[in-house]
Formats: sequence, C-alpha cells, structure tokens
Amino acid sequence: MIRTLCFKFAEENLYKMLREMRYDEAYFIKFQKMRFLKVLVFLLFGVILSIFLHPVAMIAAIALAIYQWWDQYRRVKSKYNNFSFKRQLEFSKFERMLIPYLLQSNTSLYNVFNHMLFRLEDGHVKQCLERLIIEMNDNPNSVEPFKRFAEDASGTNSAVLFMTTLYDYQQNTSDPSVITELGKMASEELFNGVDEIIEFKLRKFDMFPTKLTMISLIIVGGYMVSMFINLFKEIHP
Amino acid sequence: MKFGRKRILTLDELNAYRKAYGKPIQKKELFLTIMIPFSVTFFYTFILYYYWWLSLICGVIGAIYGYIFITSQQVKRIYENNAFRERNNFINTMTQLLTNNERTVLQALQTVTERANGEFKKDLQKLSSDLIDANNEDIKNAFQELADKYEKDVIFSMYIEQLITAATQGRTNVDTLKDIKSYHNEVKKRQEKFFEAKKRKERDFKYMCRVGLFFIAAVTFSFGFGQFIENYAHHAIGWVSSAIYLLILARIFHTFLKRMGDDSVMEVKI
Repeated sequence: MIRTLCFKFAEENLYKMLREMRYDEAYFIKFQKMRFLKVLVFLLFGVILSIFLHPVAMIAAIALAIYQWWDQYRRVKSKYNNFSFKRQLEFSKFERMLIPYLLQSNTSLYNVFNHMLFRLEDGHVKQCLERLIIEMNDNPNSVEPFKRFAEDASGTNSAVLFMTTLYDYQQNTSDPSVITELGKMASEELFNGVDEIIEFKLRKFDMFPTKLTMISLIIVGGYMVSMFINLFKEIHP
Repeated sequence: MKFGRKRILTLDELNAYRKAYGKPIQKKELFLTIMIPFSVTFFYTFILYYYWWLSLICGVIGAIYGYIFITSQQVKRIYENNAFRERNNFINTMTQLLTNNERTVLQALQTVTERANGEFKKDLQKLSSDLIDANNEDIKNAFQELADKYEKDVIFSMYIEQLITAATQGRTNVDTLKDIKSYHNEVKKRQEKFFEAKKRKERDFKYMCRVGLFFIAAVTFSFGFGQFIENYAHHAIGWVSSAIYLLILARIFHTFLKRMGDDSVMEVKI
C-alpha cells in the first residue's frame, strides 16, 4: 500500500535515477516517506499558524510544502547529473587505457580485461568490469554482457557502440584496424571529457560576480535599517 | 612525494616541495603571501568597523589563513605543474629517441635522464639504476613504481606501460608511443588554455571586489562620514550586518581560492 503510494507520487524518472546511482528500493521508499513527512510538517504548521495568526499563513505553508517537495527532486536530479558526468569520464578513461592492451597481439580480450582490473581505480567502472568478466565466462557467445556493461558503466550510445564493436572484434575479426578505429573513438571521448571538465570548472566561477554584488546589499540594508531606527528615535525621543 | 589530505605543512615541509624543482621559498615570497591576506582582511574590517584593534585581530586571522592555506596551495600547484612539464618533456624526448634511432629503451632512458630536472631526474636515475642487470620482473616493477608515483596522470601511466612492453619484450611499438605522446601534448595544451581562462576569471573577480568596495564607500559617505560611524560602524545593527557580510565574503574568497587552485583537467571532485 505505502509502496504503491510512494511509486504513484514519484516523478517519472526518480526511481530510475536512484537505481542507477545504486540505491535500492528500500532507500527509494525511505526517501519518498521523508518527502511526505516534510510536506505534512509544513501543512501542520500552516494549520496551526492560520488558526492562531492569520489564514494567509496556510497559503504560505502550501507554497513551502510544494517547493520543498520539488526541491528534494531537484537535488536528486543534480546529484544524478554529476554522477553520470563522472561516470562518463571514468568510462572514457577506461576506453583509452584499453586500447594499448588490445594492440599487444597474442592476448585475448579476457586477459586484457583481467589486466585492466588491476589498473583501474576502485569505483563504479571496476565493479561493472568485474561483473562483465563473470558474465563473459557464463555465456561467451553473447553480446548482452557487453551491452549491459556499456549501459551500466556509461549509459551513452557511443559507449554501447564501443562495446559492441569490441565484441565483434573478439568474435569475428582480429583485424587491428578495428582497434585503431576504436582508439580514435576513445581518444575523442577522452578529450571531449577533458573539455567538459574545463567547462564545468570554469562555469563554477560564473556565480562569483553576482554573489559579490548581492552581498553588498547586506551593508546597504543594514545601514538603512540603522538610519531608520535613528530617525524614529529622533521623532519619538 | 605524496600530499597528505588536510594537513598543515610546516615551513620545512613546504620547502622540501619547493626544492624538488628549484629554489626554496624566499623570505620575500613568504612575507607577501602572509602580508596580502593580512592587509585585505585588515582593510575590509577597518572600513566597516573603524576599530583598529578588531581589524588587527581579523588581519592576524587572515595572515594565519594565508600561511596555512594559500602558501601550501601555491607550493603544491607549482610542484605539480613542474612535475607535469618534466613528464611531458620525458614523453616527447623518449618518443623522439625511440623513433629516430635504433636505440633500446635503456639507452634512450639514459639520454632522457641527463636532460631531466629536479625530482623527476632523481626518479629517472633511480629507475635507471634499478634496471641494471634486472630480469623482466624487476624491470616491470621498477617502471611500475614510477607510474604509480604519478598515477593521477593516466596518459603518463599508459606511456610507461608501453615502455614496459618495449623493454621486456624487446619490440617497440612506435605508433602507439607517438599516439600517447600526442595525447599528453594535447592535455598540456588544454591545461594551458584552462590556466588562461582562470586568469581571466581572476581579473573579473578582482574587478567585482573593487565594485563592492565602491558600494561600501558610497554607503559610507551617503549621509556623511560622521553619521556612518555613529549610526552604523559603532552601532549594534552595523556590527551584526557587517559581521554577516564579512563572513559571507570570507566564504566566497575561500571557495574562489579553492577553485583557482584546482588545476587538474583530468578529474573532478564533486
């Protein structure tokens, strides 16, 4: 009952985003319950204030409740955006590291992946790769594990393309020009990632001028208040 | 050398980083990195409060902040930057030597070591000495040690990986080396572009600070200086609002400096 309610009131992609960030359903239910609770608290305050103070308080309470409901979602979303950005970067690093290994002939893809496990930092991609290796063992003639890896580790179309090409290379051709092509794809992605990081970091500077201007208003406001109080004192000594 | 997280470095430790590439910290430099934050905090506090003792206290806090945070950040940046340049030189020279001449990795390494500087030179010297009379396993470990030390530089690690293959298996894949070299150069180019862009952001920031000061000056003289002192600077309301202003300003300065100090174009901390 509560579970269906939680899903009913959730935004369309909320559960999907949380799941991709590796939160389970229990977390999702807890998250939704907290949101309900906060809305209720706001509404309760609104009722109390409107009874004792002024009915307008109810409108403000409703507005605040809606705002915070939406704000929680917004937070998950921005967290998710950061997450997928980071995930993509990690994946493009993975791609770039993979190519030199593939170029060393006389190694199988399986060996290369195992070698990569040692080189990768602990993290999302590494966990995904571990699973890919296990699944490759279980059904060696299926492209599905590769696709799943691409979707989990990066989620972009180019990642899926990269991984399926890799699968084809392993299954059918052993043509090194395929690897060169993959290398081009990977380095393009890596440098796209670098550009994105630079842009991301530079964008973080954009708010400073506004903030610096805004806080000057604190001084202006403070001075005005103190002048008013002063004036008031002079009028009513 | 590894940087510990969130630890205050003593002057000696800072000097060790500086000596890794070049001269130790000069007295004048140290004086400046302490005096500038001191003067800035002193100035801001003074024009809002007009109590010299309070400004002095805040100034000292600023100076301590300058020593703990700004100095170590600057030293680290210079260190990282120099180390990156050395690695870039290494990759370029090494690739060139391995392409043009019929040299082995070890011979090329010796030439490159002579041309390297500072701490990286020592790393290479250690590597060279480790490689003398080494079997394949030793060679691998020696190179790996170097790659691990600079593991943040993924492309450098990739390059070292290739050198391991070349040294242990005797065949040099020049095309791959050239590819990796051009990646490293590309990263360097982007990093320089990033530094330039950050400098522009710094200019904007300083300009906006001056605008803020202009605001304060306008407020100060709007109803006369005497009024300002009596009703704002030496008044409870003024104390509170100035304190809020200064705290937020300090926060903005701190995040700004932190972002300015972030030079990496290969990773983000979110």
